[in-house]
Amino acid sequence: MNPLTKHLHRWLALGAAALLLATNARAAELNARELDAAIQSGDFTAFNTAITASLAKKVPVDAKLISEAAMQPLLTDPTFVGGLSQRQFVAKVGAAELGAFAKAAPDNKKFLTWLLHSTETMDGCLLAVTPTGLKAREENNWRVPADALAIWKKIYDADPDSRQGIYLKLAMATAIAPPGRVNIGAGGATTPADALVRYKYFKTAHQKKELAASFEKLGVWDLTKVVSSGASDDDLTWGREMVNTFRPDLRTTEMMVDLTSSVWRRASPVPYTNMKTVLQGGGKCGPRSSFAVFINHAFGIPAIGVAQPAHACVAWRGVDGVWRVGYGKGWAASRLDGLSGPDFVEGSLARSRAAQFSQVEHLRWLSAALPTHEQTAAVLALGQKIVAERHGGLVDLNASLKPEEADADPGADAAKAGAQAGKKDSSTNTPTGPLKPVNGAFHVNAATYVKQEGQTLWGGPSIIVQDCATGGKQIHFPMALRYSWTEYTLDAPAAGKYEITMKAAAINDGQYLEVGSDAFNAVRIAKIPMNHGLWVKTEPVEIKLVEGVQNIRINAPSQRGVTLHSFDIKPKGN
Amino acid sequence: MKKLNLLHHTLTLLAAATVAALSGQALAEDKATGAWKQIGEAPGVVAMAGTDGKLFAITGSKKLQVCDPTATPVVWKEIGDGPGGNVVAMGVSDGKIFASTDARSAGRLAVREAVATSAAWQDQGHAWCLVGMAGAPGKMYGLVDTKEVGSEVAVMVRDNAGKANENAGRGLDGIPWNGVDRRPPVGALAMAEVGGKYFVATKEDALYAGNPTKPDVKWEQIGDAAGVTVLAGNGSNLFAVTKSGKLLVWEAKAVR
Repeated sequence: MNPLTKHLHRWLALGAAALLLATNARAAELNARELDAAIQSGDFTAFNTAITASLAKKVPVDAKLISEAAMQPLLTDPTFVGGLSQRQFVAKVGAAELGAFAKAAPDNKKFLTWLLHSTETMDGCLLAVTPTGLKAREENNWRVPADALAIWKKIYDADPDSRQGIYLKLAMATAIAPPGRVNIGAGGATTPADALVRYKYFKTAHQKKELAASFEKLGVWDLTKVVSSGASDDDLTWGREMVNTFRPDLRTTEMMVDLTSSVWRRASPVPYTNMKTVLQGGGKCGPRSSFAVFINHAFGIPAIGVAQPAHACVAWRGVDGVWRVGYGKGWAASRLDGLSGPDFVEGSLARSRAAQFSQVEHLRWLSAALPTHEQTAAVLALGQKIVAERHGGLVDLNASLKPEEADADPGADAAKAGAQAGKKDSSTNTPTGPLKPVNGAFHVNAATYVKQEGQTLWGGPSIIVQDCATGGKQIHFPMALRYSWTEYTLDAPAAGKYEITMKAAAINDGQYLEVGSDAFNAVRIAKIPMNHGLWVKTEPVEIKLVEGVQNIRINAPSQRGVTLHSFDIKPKGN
Repeated sequence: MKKLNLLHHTLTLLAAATVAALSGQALAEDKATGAWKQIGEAPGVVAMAGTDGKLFAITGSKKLQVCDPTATPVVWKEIGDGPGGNVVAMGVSDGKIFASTDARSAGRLAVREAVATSAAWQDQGHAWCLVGMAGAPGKMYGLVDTKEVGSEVAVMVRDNAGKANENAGRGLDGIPWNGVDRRPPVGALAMAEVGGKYFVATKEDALYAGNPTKPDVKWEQIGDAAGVTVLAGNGSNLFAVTKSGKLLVWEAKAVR
């Protein structure tokens, strides 16, 4: 590490510490009196002038003296940093807009007093609204959305929890990017959800631990790529329940995006009324992209729809914090969030180095407050040095997850990858002897098979043993099977006709399993009613059993995937 | 008077219907009087054919074995290999054993001498989608199941000797199989010939008797065939192998 790098790192660490200290630094604020007067009067002009002057006064007039050594004390001074954030916040909301907001209601003044005296809160908001693309950051023409303060205030009033911690970040994200702010694709809500409702929705989901573990690590900008979801809250809830039921194995690696492979690539025979119908009917790249974005959002994983030449796909934040693109070409052919793919990658990587990103942007904010071009250039040059010192984060701009699915339904590689997402688990609680009836009936967990065989069309595992979300195990027959079956040994008390019902889940119409005793050739078809990937009981089907020990085989034909939890067998007529 | 006549006619019709119903019940019971009896084990057997008092069988591990079904217990003796590939059906015609393989094994028909010693198999050309075979003098009848959605099992016949398909395309070489305009029972999965009668077991565990060589003989259910996947005739006896590897014989009185 060269001396400059070492110095910058120390500076960054000190800066971060200063930002934290500044949170409760009201007593040492620059122009505190002017700020309070501005809030009360709804006129921020005088404050803006005063704070700009105060900041500029601290910076050497001679640009040649603006150095790391000279700036370090300033950017580690909570008072200076707090003033810098206040000035930037006023500038980016707009003095007139801020004044109008202050005048709009007495309560707004209280809200602004809280906000403008919290450096951390202002920084969180400003850094989230800061454009991801470097060019737009350098142009510095961006603004805090006009309605953000009103939304934020509404959440602030409704929920005291929204004033700190993760729910403060959630509140800011919702204010910046409420539902409806981004394009609503196939299956999206007809009317965007109310922002406060959306905030409470994700807060509750987080409290219930329904979201992905990585949700807690998200910054405000990341969260804007969640709460802005165009899906209805009902669909978001269904999405989680469906994954927890149909493919709980995907949660292990937070690769819910893999479920996009299950959106049948075809012209949907089902009209899209919500996300359930997108999964039920399938669709081409547009609906598949919408679903891929949605299923990430459902678990609180940031995701964005991606435009590519004659194609649409998805980008999402991986469990490691790195954004990835999938189901199409790589970043080089992508456009998202108003940026080219490579620019988005560069910007998202910059954001992932949070302390560095913050430091550079604070220098940019400072540069805008300085009176001379020379001072501005000298401060910006310091920021550019930090940017130049960045390291790591190399991204293959041509890489994509499942690129083959851009043009076709899941092919060989996709099927393998999908099947391998769940591990084949040998601990299936295989019973030591034939299953005996209890009160005349058998209840059999699907994972307690004594034997299993099968192949997918492309050689992947023909069964996935999953941890059931409610405890125990379940099995998943993947799509595109060459064949796959499981066998269970039963000891029937008497020969005769029995009824079998299954607890199963499927996401497409027309799915079924075949079942029969190995004492007979006859097999019966248990149709899985459409319940959009949630558990459902099949209608009873009649099978014949002989008296004594025999094997019951459940056969899965080549179809779109069925998850089986358990089945019950009882004498017919009981 | 008219009312009395109507009552008389009604009573007559009811009586006739009752007699017909009772006769039908008796006939049905008569058909079901036959029963399978287990005479031994046949583990792993995927196809079987009988001749000269012996049963020849090929296993899933592609071995050819032979037994005397009258022995107690029945003992299988390995006498060599099958013709190669996954054998799905066997039959006997003109004193020779025929075996056919599934589509994954190119759907071939092979023949060898029906001797309880090692003998070479000879390729006889194609035998696409056969699931069962039953021989007749100079001919072999086959159950053909393409397993395509909506398709039904059909009966085809092939002469043991004759002119080979000259312009054989897509592997349809050898003496051609020709369609027989007589459908087997729905879900037919195995077929055998016993004393000039033909028997078919189905996917619904039923045993039928009929004759694909004659146009006016309907297939009639004569009993159950629970789990039967393989049929073979030998002399006057009908044998079967079940999914669980049991060797069965149909009681002779039921073979009419």
